[in-house]
Amino acid sequence: MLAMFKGAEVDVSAHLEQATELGLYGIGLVFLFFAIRPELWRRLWFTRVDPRPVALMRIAFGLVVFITFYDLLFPMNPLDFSVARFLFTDEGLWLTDMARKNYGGGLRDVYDAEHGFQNWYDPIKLLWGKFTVLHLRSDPAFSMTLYYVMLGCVVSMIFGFRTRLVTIVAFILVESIYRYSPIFYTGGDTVVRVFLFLGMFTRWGEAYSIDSWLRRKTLLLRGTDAEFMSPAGLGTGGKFVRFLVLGFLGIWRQSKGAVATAIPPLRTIPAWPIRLMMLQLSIIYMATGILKSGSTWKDGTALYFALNLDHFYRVPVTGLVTFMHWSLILPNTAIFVRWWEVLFPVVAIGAALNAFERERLRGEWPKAALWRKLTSIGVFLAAWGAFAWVAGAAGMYFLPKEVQSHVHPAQRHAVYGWALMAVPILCIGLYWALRLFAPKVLWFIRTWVFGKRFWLVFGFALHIGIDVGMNVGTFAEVMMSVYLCWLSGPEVETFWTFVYSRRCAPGEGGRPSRDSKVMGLLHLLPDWFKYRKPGPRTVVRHDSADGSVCRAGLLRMLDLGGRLDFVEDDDVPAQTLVVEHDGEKLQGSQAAASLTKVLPIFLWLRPLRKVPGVGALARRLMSQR
Amino acid sequence: MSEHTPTKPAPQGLAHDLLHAPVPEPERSQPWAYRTWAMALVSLFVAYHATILMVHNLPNKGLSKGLHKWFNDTHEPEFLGKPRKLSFDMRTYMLATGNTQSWAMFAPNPHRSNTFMKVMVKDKDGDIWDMAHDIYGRRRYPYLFYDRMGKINRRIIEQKGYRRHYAAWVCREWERTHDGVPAIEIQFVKMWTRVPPPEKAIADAGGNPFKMGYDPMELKLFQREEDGIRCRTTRHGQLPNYLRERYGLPLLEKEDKVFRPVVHRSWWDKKETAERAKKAGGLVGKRLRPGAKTGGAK
Repeated sequence: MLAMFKGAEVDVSAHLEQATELGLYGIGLVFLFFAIRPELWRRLWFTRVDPRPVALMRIAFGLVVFITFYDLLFPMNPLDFSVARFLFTDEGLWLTDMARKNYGGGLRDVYDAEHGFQNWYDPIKLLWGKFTVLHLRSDPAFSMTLYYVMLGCVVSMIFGFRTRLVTIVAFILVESIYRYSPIFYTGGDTVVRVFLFLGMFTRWGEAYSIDSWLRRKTLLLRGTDAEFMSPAGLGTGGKFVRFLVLGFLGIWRQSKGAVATAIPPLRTIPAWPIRLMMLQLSIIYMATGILKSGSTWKDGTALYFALNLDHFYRVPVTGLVTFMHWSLILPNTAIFVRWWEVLFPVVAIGAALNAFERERLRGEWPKAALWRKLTSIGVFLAAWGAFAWVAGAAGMYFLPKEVQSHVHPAQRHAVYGWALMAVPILCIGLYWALRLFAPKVLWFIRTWVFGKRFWLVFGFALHIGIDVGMNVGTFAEVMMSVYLCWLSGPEVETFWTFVYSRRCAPGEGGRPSRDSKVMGLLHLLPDWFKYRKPGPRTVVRHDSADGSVCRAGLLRMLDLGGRLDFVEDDDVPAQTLVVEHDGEKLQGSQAAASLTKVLPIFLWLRPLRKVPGVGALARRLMSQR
Repeated sequence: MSEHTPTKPAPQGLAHDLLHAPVPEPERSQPWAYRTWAMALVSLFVAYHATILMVHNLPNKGLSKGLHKWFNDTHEPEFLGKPRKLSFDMRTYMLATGNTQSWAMFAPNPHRSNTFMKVMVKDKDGDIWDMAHDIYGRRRYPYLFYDRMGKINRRIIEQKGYRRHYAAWVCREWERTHDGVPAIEIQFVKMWTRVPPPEKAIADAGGNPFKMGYDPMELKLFQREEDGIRCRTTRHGQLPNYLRERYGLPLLEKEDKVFRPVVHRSWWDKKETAERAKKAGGLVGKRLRPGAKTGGAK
C-alpha cells in the first residue's frame, strides 16, 4: 500500500475493483469491531481528560498562528507595501473577479458582480465548499479590517478570553484569508488550517485562560460548591436552570460572606478532538515519510542537498554541511528521519498500550463478556486481513524487482498478504509472552521504543535542527506546538516544576561528584535533568480575615510552579497582601512587579516592570477584583 | 526572592483549605464527555472525519484510486424499496473545512538545483528593466524572516499557470509606479545553479575537512528565456479606472477599450442568453408556422 505513493503510474486495473471493495469492507469491519466493543470506542474518544496540555498547546499554537500572519504585515522585496496587501487585496496580485474566477468554486456560477446572487439561499449553499467573502470584495479597507479582526481573535484565543467563540471566528477568518488564493501556501499554513479546524471542537480554554480564571474566581469568592456547578451535580436541569440557581445562590452566599472551602479545580474536557489531533499528526508524519521515496532519501544525500538550497538556508555554510555529510552525520540522519516519520504512528499505538496497561492495573479498563472479546478479535483480524490483501497486491505491483526476485511471480500476492496477516498475530503473541516472561523488556518497549519520550523528544530535536539550519516558514514551530496535545496533565505539572527548579551542584541533592572531566562532560546533560532542587520561593503574607485569605487563594490559582508560600501575619493590613522579596516586604505596585517573575501568566509584564504605570497595571491585574 | 520557612504554626480553617491543602486535580464529575445520545451524534462525526482524513491522505492513484472515487461519488443504495442518493462528498468536505492537505515536503527528493525566476519589464521606450524579484545574490544573511515573495518566485517556476497572473500584476504595478504609463511586455527568465553532488564537493577539497564547501555565487549560472507576456493583451494587465482613481492617476477615457476584464459567464449572462435564445426560438417558430408573417422584405 505504501509503495503506491511513489511517482510512477502502474496499471493495477486487474486488482483495482477488488482492492476498493476490500478497502471498504476493511473500514466497515473496523466500525463493526467498535460496534461489538462500544466501551472501547467510548474509552478512545469520549473519556474526559486533563485540560492543561491542550491549553498549553492553545497558547503555543496561537502564538505561531499570530506570528505567521503578523509576519505578512510587513513589506518584502520587491514590494513597497505589505505582503498581506499584495496577497489578499485587489491592489495586489489578484483583482477580485480574477481570484473569484480561479478559486471561487461554486461562487462564480451563482454570483454576478452587477446583479448579486441568483437566489437568496445561495450564500448558505456556498458554505459547503471553498467560499470566502474576499471573493466578493477585497479592497484594502475591507480585507485588512478582516485581517486585523482575525489577528485580534487569535490574540484573544491565546489569552483564552471567550475562547470557544473566538476560536470559531478565528477559524472562519483564517480560512477566508487563505482561500483568496493558494499561491503562497507552505506546509506550515496547512498545519495551521487543519489544527485550527480541530481547535474549534476542543475545549482548550479550560485552563491557562482568562475564561477559566474568571470561572474559578467566581467559584472561590462566591463559595459555590464545585460539585454543584457541575452538570452531574445538578442532574438534567439544563444550563438555564443552573444559571439561575447559581446566580441566586451566589448572591445569597456572598451576602453571607461565604467563600469556597477549597481551590476550585479545573474541569476535565472531552478527549475526542485531541485524539483527532493525534491522528492528524501521525498522518502528517507518516505521509511525508512515505512520500520521501526518492533516491536521495535512500542514499542519505537528501539533507546535504536540502541544507545547501539557496532558498532555505539561514546562512550559507556549505563547508559545514559538506563536512557533516563527509563525517556521515547527515546521511545517517536523513535515513533515520525518513523511517522515524514513516513509523511515527507507533507512538499512538504506544499511547494506547500504556493506557491499557495503566488502567488494567487499576481495574479501570473496560470489561467485556468473553463472546464479545472473541468476536471482536475475529472481526479485527478480518479487517486486518482485508487490508493485508490490498497491501499484498500493492507489494506485488510496487516493490522493486530486485526485492521480489526470490518469490515466484504467481505466489507474490499470497506471500505478501499472508506475511502481513501474520504481523498482528505475532505481535499479540510476543506481547503476551513478554508480559509473562520478561515484563522489564515489555516495560522498556512500552515506555521507550513505543514511548512519547523517544518519538516526541526526537521530533522536537529534529524540528529545532530544521529551524536552526533552514527557514521554511513557521512549519517547525507549528509542528512543535501541536506536540503538546500528546502530553498528560501530570506531565505538564512536572514541566512547570522543572522549569522553576534549579540544578544541584556536584555533591548536592544526591548528585555525584565526577572526578574525571570527561565523565563530568558526558554526564552533564543527564545530571542537569536528573538532579534538581526546588527554586527560590516567594512568601506572600496575608491577614487572617476571609477576604484576605481569598485574595491569597486567587493568587495561588496562578502559581503554576507551586512557588508561593503563604503566611498568616496579623501585621498585614486587611484586604492587603505583602510579598517578601530579597528580605524586603513589598506592597502594592512593587509587590505586583516582583510577582511578574514568579507567575508565568504575568511574565510578559516583566521586561516592562520599570516603565511607569506598569507596576500599577500588574497590581490591578493581580488584585483580581 | 528569599529562602523562607513559615514561622507560625500551620494554619487551620479557610487559610489551610485554600492556601495549604494540595491543589485539587481537575475534577472528573462524570466519567464520559456527553450523554449517550450526544455521544452517538459526535461518534458519527468522528467516524466520518477520521475515515475521510485517512482516505484523503492515501494516494489518488494505484490501488487506492477506487477508494477515493467511492468516497467522492454519489451512490444509490436501495432503502425501503427505493433507491436513495448517498454521497460522502470527501473532496467538498475537505475543501469546506480547510482540511485539504498534502505533505510532500522535500519529497520525493529535495531539489538538487537552486532555481530563480528573473522578472523583467520592457517599457514603452523598449528599455529592459530587471525588477529584482528573484533572490539570486540578493538575500541578506542570516535569513531570519520567511520570504513569501521568494516562495511565490519558486511557485511561478513550478506552476506555469501562475505566470500570466503574476505578469498582469507586474504590468499594473508598473503603471502604478510610472504615472499610469503602461509597460510593453513582461519577460520571465529562468535561472538556476546546480548544487554540486557531495562526492564532488568532498573530492574538490581533497578530503580536507577545512577546505570543504563552495561559494554558492561561484556556481555556474544557467539562464533560459521563458514566457514573454504583453501587458496590452493580458487580462487584468492594465489598471482599471477604479484603481487609477484610488492611486490618483489619470483615468482611462475609454476603459472598455483598454482594460481587459475577466471573461466569465455568470448566472445572469446565462439567463440573458437563454432568454435571447427563447425569443429567437419564438421568432423562428412564428416564421415557421404556416400562414405566419415573415419578417422578410416586402
